[in-house]
Amino acid sequence: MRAGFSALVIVVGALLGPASEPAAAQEKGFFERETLTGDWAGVRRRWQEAGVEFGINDFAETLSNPAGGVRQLTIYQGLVAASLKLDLEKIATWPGASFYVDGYQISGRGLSRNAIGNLLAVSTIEALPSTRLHDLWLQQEFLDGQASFRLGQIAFDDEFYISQYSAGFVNSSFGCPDTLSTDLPSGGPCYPFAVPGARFRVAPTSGLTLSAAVFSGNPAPRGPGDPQVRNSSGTNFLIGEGGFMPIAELAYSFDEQPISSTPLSDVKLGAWYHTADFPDQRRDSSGGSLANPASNGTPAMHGSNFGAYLVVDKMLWRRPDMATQGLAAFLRVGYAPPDRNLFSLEIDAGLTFKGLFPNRELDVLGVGAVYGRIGYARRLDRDRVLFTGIERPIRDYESVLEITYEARIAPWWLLQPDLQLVFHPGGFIAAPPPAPAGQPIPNALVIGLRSGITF
Amino acid sequence: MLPPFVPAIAAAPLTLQVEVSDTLPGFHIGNLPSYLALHMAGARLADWRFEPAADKGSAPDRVEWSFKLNPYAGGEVRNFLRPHMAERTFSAHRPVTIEARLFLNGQYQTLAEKQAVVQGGPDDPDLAAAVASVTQNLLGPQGAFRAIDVGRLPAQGPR
Repeated sequence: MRAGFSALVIVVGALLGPASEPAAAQEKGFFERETLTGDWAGVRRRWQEAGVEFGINDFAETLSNPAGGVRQLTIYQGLVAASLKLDLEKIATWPGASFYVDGYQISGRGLSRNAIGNLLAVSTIEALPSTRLHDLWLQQEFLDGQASFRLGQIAFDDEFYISQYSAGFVNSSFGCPDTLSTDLPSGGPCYPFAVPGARFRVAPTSGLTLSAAVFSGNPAPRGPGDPQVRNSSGTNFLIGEGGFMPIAELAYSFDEQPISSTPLSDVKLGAWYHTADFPDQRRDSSGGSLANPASNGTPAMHGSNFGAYLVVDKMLWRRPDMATQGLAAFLRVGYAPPDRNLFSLEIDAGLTFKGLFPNRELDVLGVGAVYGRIGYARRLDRDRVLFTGIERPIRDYESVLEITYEARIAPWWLLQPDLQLVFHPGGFIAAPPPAPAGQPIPNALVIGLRSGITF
Repeated sequence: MLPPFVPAIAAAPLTLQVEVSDTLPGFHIGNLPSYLALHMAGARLADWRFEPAADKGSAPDRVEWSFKLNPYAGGEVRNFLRPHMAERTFSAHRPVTIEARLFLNGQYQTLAEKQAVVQGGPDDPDLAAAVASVTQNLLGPQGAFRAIDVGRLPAQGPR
């Protein structure tokens, strides 16, 4: 239905475009403009100049796993992301201040959740259907923009652990890493959640940025069921629920080109801490294995959690005079203690080539891989085999290989065919019935097509 | 107090070639001189004319522009799309340092500098205003060129 809506809007836009005469004289052609709906006869630009900026992006995708996974399925899922940014310096003569709010309308069903049974979700937009608030914050800049303070409902994956070259991949692990979205309570402050928090950022020189933030520890209230149901609208505003999560990141950028809005290469080092209690993945409260039939069944608790990460983006070769076009590489490594985290190590890396083909300067071909190592849960699996004498899969890792091509049909329209191979879905867990007992979930092949439209 | 500068031949304004040492998002380096020449004319200085330079550093009478990104800590928001606009505009308004250097008869004369907050791209009104302002500060009645020692001016003055 959502794909139909997108198609309808395109057709309506094509029909209405030439009708607004004064704007048509100035606006670019339908396939040259930056947004599908254009400049709204000059209204959009006037609002931007006045400090009001609207944004609507529609994503629609179909994904299918013709082989592997728990079962074979073809799904549709969609996301409409709407945002409003107010420049309060222009609107309210409040120097350096801005306000931002965005929200999601999520539809369809996820392939990882409903068919593959894996952890490294195959889509960045996979979530339960809902209409939800995401970010809601106020920001104050200081020192001519060299420092800023943001307060409100914010998300970890807005600004932290970001690789500019992995951002276009479809698999979710190239965005918010699973050392956070799988390990932290309710998935942590990652899509589709944002949580109350505060962030301070300072750029003492043009190549150096230090960011520090404190997030509320759990985006959903305690209770049974899926956290996306427990906080179904993004408006719980839970402060301190499940502790707090401070984080700091130091970023050094280089290969800065005036022609490009972002430096072409950077290195980021980050570390986070979480004050909540985290259950041990193997031990019970008496120190024995949870797999022992004599165990009290109560996991040992750790009073906190922590982790560290490294992000490296490097432009390897670029076309002369076309700063962002060329071959680039990225590497992200994240670590969390294996005794209290399902994923204890996550590595993703890849190559992207922007403008590979003639006359396709904005297209990007990407090849990337993710590896997520299972922590001491694998030892628990060994214990289970030992105590029961029944052979069963022992979790070790899950990994994904992805090949994707971002085709810019127009500046406002992205079409993205995608192929993923998922190895050891679920970390190499047994498939549910009717699969034979003890048989792991088969490796999965995923194919799909994503459409992204900027209105 | 220096006397106000008066062109030797008021009816024949001097034509300056416009060059860039680097560029901004939204412009190919070959297109930016044309954009700058257009908006320098927006400063409405009767004594000067502006043309985009064909070759860098070859014209004796020229203005060289440079743009440097200032440190910025404004931050970002979640984006599901790879930022394809990198060559078109900044994703947000960014502080930049704009510098224009004046050369006459091949000799460096003076410069004007301005800190501005721009988004980039040919449609950015803040960038256009900044270019006009720097042009005024360089060549206008109260500009840097009028303020320098008249004795350093080229013997024949603007042609």
